[in-house]
Amino acid sequence: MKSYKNHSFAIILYTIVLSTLALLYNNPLYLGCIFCITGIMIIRQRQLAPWGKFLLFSLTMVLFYTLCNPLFSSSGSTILWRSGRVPIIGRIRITLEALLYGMTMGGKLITIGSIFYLYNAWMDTDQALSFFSRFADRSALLFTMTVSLFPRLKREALEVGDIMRARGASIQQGSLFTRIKAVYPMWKVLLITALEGSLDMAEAMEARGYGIGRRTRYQTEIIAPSDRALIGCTLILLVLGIMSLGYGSGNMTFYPVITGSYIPWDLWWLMGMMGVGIIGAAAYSVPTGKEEWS
Amino acid sequence: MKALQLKEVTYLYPGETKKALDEVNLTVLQGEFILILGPSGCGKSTLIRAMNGLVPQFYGGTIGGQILYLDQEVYTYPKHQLLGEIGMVFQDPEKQMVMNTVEREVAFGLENLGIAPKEMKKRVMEVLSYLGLLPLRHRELHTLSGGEKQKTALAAALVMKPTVLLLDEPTSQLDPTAAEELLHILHQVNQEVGITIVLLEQRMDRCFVSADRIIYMEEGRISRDTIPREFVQWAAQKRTAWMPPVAKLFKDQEIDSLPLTVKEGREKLIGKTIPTITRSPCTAPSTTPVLRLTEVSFGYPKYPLALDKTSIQCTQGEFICVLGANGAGKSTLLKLMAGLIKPVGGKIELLGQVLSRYHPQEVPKIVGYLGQNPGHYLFHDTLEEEWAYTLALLGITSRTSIQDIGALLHLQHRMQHNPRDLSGGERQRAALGSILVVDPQILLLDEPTRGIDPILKIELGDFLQKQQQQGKTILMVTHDIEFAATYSQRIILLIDGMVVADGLKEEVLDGGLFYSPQVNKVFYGITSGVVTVEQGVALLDTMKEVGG
Repeated sequence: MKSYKNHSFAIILYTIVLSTLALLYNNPLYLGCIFCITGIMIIRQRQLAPWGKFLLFSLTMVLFYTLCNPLFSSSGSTILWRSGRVPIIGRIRITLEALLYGMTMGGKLITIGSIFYLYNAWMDTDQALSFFSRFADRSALLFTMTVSLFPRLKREALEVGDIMRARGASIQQGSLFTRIKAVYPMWKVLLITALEGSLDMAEAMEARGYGIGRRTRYQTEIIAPSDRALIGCTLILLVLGIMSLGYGSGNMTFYPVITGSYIPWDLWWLMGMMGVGIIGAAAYSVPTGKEEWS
Repeated sequence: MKALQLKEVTYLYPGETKKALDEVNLTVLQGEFILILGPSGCGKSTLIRAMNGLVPQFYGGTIGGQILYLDQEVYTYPKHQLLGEIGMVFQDPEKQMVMNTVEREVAFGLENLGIAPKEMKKRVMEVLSYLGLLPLRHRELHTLSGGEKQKTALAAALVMKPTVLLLDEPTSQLDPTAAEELLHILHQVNQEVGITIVLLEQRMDRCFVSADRIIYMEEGRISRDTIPREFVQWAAQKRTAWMPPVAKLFKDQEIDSLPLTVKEGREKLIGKTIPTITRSPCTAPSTTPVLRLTEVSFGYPKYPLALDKTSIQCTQGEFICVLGANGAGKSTLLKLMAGLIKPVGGKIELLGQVLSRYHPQEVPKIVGYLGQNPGHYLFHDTLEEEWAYTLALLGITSRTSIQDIGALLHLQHRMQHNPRDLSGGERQRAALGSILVVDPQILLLDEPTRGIDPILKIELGDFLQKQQQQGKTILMVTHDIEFAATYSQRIILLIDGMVVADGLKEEVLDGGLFYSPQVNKVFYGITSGVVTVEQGVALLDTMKEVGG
């Protein structure tokens, strides 16, 4: 089980700052830095093996971006390869800039995905519900229920998949078309089952008084010294991030030529951010004393 | 004092013309234990939902008459007070859970009612220790067994300090031991805490002992409202399917009153001479093996082996029931036999050939697999399309079997209906039909009796026996010991991934603590090998003849 390792506010602030910086940066060096900070924290959560699987799966997306961007974007001045005239599409130009832009965007996607992965590994759904319900009771519950629906649907999908195969459907064999055709009814069953299940859950919640008035909270989180350290590191990271962007270091223009990298300055920013990230990961602390009843 | 009172209550679900409740009059006294029985679709679930206002407040529809809680209309009673005082536990524990961990799930209702945190902590800890859930309080709910989940659901209801507890078939998903434990807890909270219990249950045989009154419903109406002893006398004349096996055993004996419990049944035998049974040696209908597992092992990642070096042989025309606790590896066994998962060790042979060598689409023509949830088989617009889908998947062009199976399962008049609109029993049969249309030689059925009423169980049992007589091999996983004792010939008892018993039902079900039918318990220590009502009745008749 996940124990309450940090205060919800510290976790949420940390992941919001990281994802905002990942969204704003276009420079692969800075994106790499955010990726590393995220990775260190994921490793601290002892989630390296499952994260590795996630990364392996995400690599296909990077590959997709890297390959597709140069095919559809002919911007960029350093031409690596030029095709003959292709009907409808015209002439294809593969440029270095388009290739690097595609790779950077793929990297950005993996970084943001990893930040969400970190949030999911770090934050307990019950803890999230308690925290968010202070501000938006119904939306928080809806969000929590949606998140908890996925593992249930996954189990359900495995069961339905077995039944489809028991009836003779080729969901793991044959051409891609055959498999897609076989999987379609499976989604239909899952959708119907999920709808029926959500009605059952809504009824159970109604029977237990959900939504009849102001809720109280079973557990009240307290901010521990480790949370303060983590929040401090997050704020320093945010300041460093804004400054690096303000000085133009985190940005990179890809078209028509790659501009915007000033290595000496970058090194300082990057070293600073990495340092703060590592201190932040060290501040991720023990589960003791974090679960309180007021 | 009256806890609940229903006066002339009539209810129609939105868009329906048939009344789900039809002029129902019922009074529930404080501290009573009420057992509600009746065939599927008779309005039992609607009735208890009307008691706490879910009908019509959640479902909509039209309601008439009066529903009073402590002499006040439920709709005018303060809602947060009403929901605290009338607790509810549903059939499927998984579908009623909102939070992630046991402790938070139990506290969820209290949070909704705005209870102060200190009071919440006291109540949660108290109820967790009362139900023995304290060691599990930090566990994530999906890691719990079925029985633990249902106990958590019960804890979540009890923590609200209800005066009335409504339970909608809470044991239908549980194995015999977990079901027994839950019913024991209900008896205890009724006796010791004084909570009024209103229980709907299909596995009624173990509930008669706790019930103060039995309500029998049909077609949205209450047909009988009486004490258990009178109900059994009435059922013996009018509705024999609803009698507990121990009462059925003595139905045709000349005795004053029918027994309700094993203890009472045994008292009827005091001073009688029981002749020794000479059972003719029972052999398998055929010696042709159709399915053979040799030292088969299987494990899910991160878990101990679900099956450990299991060897089983099924011959043609056998009807075998597999019993065991939740998580014992029963469903895994069926999936291995259907070729849906591959063993990590050992060999599975189907009709003499290694199962993995079959083309995946050849196996469903020989082995029909019915999973636990019939809903997973039903997603087409009509039943006919649903069954035709299986034929199309296996490349069978002839559709004649659809009509034949429709007639066989008594669903011919439902062929153009949406299978999702069918009643519980019809849905079960519709799912069964979707595998029977290809006429498989072997039927693998995973808990097909779950949540179905005694009449439908008899229909299903008779149907399966006919299939067996036609030479089909049936292997069925079930928690229903009475069903297994009545219809199968052979029992496999699976515990913790190991076959601990495999043999004739008269041997395996004889003298067990949990895995024995009521009739066997009546004759425990007196004679052995009596597991069905028919066998018991025959024995009692012999006893009369010898003047015992």
